[in-house]
Amino acid sequence: MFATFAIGQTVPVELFGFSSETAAVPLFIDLSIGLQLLAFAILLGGIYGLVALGLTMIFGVMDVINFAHGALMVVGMYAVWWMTNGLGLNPFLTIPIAVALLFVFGVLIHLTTIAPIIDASQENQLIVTFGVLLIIVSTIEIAFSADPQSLDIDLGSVGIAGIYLPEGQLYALVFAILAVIVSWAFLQYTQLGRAIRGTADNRDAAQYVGINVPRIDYLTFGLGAALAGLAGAVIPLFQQINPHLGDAYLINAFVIVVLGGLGSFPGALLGGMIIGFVHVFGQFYLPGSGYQIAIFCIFILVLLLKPSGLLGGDSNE
Amino acid sequence: MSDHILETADLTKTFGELIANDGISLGIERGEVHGIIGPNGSGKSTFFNTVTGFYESDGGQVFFEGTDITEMGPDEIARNGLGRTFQIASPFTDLTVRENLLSVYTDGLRSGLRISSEKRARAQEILEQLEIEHIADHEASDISGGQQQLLELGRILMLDPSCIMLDEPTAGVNPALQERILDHLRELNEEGRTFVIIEHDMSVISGLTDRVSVLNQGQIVTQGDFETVTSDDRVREAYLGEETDPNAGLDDALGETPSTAGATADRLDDGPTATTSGSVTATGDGGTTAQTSQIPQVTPKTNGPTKRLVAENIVTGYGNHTVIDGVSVESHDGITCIFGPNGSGKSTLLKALVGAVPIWSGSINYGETDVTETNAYQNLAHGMVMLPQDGGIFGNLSVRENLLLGGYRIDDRSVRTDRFDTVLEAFPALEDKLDADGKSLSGGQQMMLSFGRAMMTGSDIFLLDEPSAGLAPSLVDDVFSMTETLVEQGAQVILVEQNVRDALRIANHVYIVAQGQLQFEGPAHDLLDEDELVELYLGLE
Repeated sequence: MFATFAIGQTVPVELFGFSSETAAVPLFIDLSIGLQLLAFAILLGGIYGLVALGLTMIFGVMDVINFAHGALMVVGMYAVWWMTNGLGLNPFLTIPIAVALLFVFGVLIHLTTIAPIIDASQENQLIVTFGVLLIIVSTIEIAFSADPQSLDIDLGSVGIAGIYLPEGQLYALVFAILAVIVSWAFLQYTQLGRAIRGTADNRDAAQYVGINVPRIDYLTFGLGAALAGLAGAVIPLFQQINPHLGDAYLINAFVIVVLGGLGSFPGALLGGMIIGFVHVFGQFYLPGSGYQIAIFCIFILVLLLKPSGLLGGDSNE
Repeated sequence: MSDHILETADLTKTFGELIANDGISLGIERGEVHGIIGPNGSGKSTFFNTVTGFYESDGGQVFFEGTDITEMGPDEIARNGLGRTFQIASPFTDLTVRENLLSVYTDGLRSGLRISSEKRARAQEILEQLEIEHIADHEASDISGGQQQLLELGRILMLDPSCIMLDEPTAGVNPALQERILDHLRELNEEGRTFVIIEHDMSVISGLTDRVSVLNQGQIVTQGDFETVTSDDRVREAYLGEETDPNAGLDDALGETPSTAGATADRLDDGPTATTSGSVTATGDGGTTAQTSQIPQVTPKTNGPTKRLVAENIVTGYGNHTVIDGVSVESHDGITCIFGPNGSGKSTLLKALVGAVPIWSGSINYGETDVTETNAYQNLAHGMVMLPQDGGIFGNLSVRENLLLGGYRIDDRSVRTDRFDTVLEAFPALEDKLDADGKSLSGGQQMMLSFGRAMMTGSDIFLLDEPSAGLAPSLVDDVFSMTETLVEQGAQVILVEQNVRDALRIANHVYIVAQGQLQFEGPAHDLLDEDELVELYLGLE
């Protein structure tokens, strides 16, 4: 069962074990179902948060809107799938490898496409990143075909107090939470993390305290790509993948970045969680792709009440 | 009103808490050239924008040819015969010069479909009159800044306006072309057109205008012919900063504030001033007693030969716009001040020194090190740090994090901690605010944080870009004592300032830059004659 996105990309609804065609879902549900939905919401929220964090980081520091971000997720998915199925590696070992790979890949993308036009207009940069998106997705499609793929592993279910979570989703949830905590701590408590936040805050002032701003750009793009890659890398644990799966996530990631406040790191994580919840619970209660409408309704509502986003600062004007 | 072609009544424009235009009532006589001068941020461009409908006014009225145009849109005002140009010339860059003129919308819908022969003839006439016919078929992006200014003037002439408002028409234009622009303006004025002109170049104002209005802090300070205006104490105050007794308390300082600055306390929400704003009294003239000589200057430390920052023949600018044209400066022990009117290029010079703006030619050395090509962050490793205008703090980071980032280049944790403590000792007010976001601080506290963050770098030379700008008068002295703190700790300071009178009290060596060139260089005590200072400052020689 697939719910169709506006841009023609699909995310399988059955991944959450519920059919959106179920008529008349009761408003009050079993505690066990409720908790299960909650777990899915946190998982999806964590993945959204990671994708949005990378996106908002690159935007905040470099003022670049990275359209290739969803494609970087796809690279993470296929890296894990290929290393597991093709090379026979343990899938959990392949996740950190994929993240490291994506960091290097991000630095290379920055070196070849963004860095040369860092002073060009934002539209030019946007179009270049869109080109990178097309190249990546097409290359993956040529290499691995557009057919859906899944990991050749058998993962069971874990039951805790009557709530049954497929193991794949549980592990993905653990990875997502860990990654959010590590990213948060890195940005908050290390000198380098502070330098990234400082550069995002005031690029001019950053150079006056001795921050090598071009180098921070490389680091940021690498980290942004690694976060997208990590979000992508956990997806094959519980879902079939295809080369276009990143698009749907990217659209929602844009919503999250604006919802949380452009360039705000905590805003991206909070926004990710909110959209994760709306997505999962909306999918449960609303027919068809009604949840997507719910996402945009919440989005519009927040922007009406606080145009700079939930955790966005006041505009500097 | 009959002899006034343009008149404003109590025109007010605010941006949030900032009162940019504070009840301006100004009458422009038919056929005159009226100059508007005033320091940075005094509200000149805002006045233009409000009069010509680009901003919606927050109070008051504008009359043009006896008609109330307050509520009209900018296009309607332009078609009614009140034209304007912008500080940065903005021709349609993809069109040719002639097409730029023809693009002007003149007579109803028909002009949108077919260009009439009269319109072509008019364009030709303007091209000839302004002597830009030879570049008529060049794309507007390919012509020089001065030619773009002429084109902008020509484009507005297509509407045959009876009054034209010019926002710095000669800024960044080379002297030869500048003379030509002025000739054209005189010629157009003789044809009967009225001009209102904002200019920082005083030689332009003195040679062109019939009357001058001086704006300061959103209000008209005085009006009259150029000589009368420039000898007015209030005008000197507007440009050189208010004369306050540095030993006086806050109330005294405010009490001395002349009426022209009455709105300051409301405008700058800086804690203590807000509570005493009621005590602001209108004393008319500010005190004029020169106190400069009575103030003991900080004696710079002379422990052995200090490294100097030496810049020779600096030429730089933005785009094809030369801002600094062959200036040589060097740092001296203590505080080296760079003064100059608005748009003289002093901030650009400072940014060039620290490496934030690349220079086109010339050389910069710090001690033995060639820093001509190095960036600002590389120069920090050489011991140079810049405090950008308005402090440039990280608003979304806490005060603690701001300070820690000041120590970004320090690898040794204990050094960083020691310096952190030193900074808090120097600025105890920051200690209570360590966990507050930078943006939550008041203007004065932000500047303090900027000083503290710069001290964290452990630099030997501090470059300060107008640290007192935008601060309440009572805080200006604090900023200068913070500057002295840096010197007491053995550093050299290069200080760019608008507050000349106050800054002179702490200066050891002075440079005056006007129109991109050096007008004066020497020890601060050579500059005690204020008349001379004013002339140098205004570039009158």
